[in-house]
Amino acid sequence: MGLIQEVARTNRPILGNDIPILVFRVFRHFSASYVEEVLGRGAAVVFQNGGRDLGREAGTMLYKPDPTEYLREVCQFVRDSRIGILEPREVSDTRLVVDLDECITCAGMHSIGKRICQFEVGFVAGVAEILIKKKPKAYETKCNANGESTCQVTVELA
Amino acid sequence: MNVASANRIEKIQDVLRSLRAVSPDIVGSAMVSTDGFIIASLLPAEVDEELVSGMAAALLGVGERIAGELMGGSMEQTYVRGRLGYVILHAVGQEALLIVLTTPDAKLGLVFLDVRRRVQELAKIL
Repeated sequence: MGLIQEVARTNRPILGNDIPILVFRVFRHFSASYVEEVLGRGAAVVFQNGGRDLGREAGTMLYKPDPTEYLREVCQFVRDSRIGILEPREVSDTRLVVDLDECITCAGMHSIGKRICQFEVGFVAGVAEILIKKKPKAYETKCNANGESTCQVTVELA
Repeated sequence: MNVASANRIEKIQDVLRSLRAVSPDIVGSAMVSTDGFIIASLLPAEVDEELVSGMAAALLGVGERIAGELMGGSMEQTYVRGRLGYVILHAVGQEALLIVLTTPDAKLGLVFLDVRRRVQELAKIL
């Protein structure tokens, strides 16, 4: 059983399964803030690799041999899960560039002058890894938290 | 991968090989980027390189933080002593680090000396 299936089991008959995004964000940002305090620049690797694991697991579940169809499935999954709205901006043999609008982590936040969505970067990289069958480099090229209008992930495929 | 990158990796691989050749106490080494990617490796086959590179980048971060917090200075090297030997991490510039594995009875002074020399070579290649 993958981690997604494991954590999908809930037992909250009174409180239910939906939570406000604020709750998700405080959990996410408080843990990220502490991990960063302890690990310094090592924190980015930890979050990105965590995201990669999720991306690989989700990618395996959603996999379609046709890359266009696979990407469409992933975008739909991200939207249905309300992680954000994933929009491919560039798809080539060497590069995948996707925008993540309405990002779960940072959309609407005031600019804090840095890009912070390493987990999402890892997620996109992990999804891409399932397609190309090797670990690609990936980085955030835009972020709402950096005062940019969207989050954007660039993956080097070759 | 382009030719220039391939040449650089081959040079790094040569430095790692020379490090292992210079001391029987050194049983493995790898160079990883600070964002957790393996650049070149002579680690034993059973090692999960992806996991190790992530851990090394995180440990480098902890080393830098603790050196800064406790001693107000920058970190040069971190090492872990285990029952089966030592793991030495040495920063190579701002972008990479060298991981070296040794036997448990390694002469650390000599190993550190060799590591420092190779780090200078690696920094030039990078």
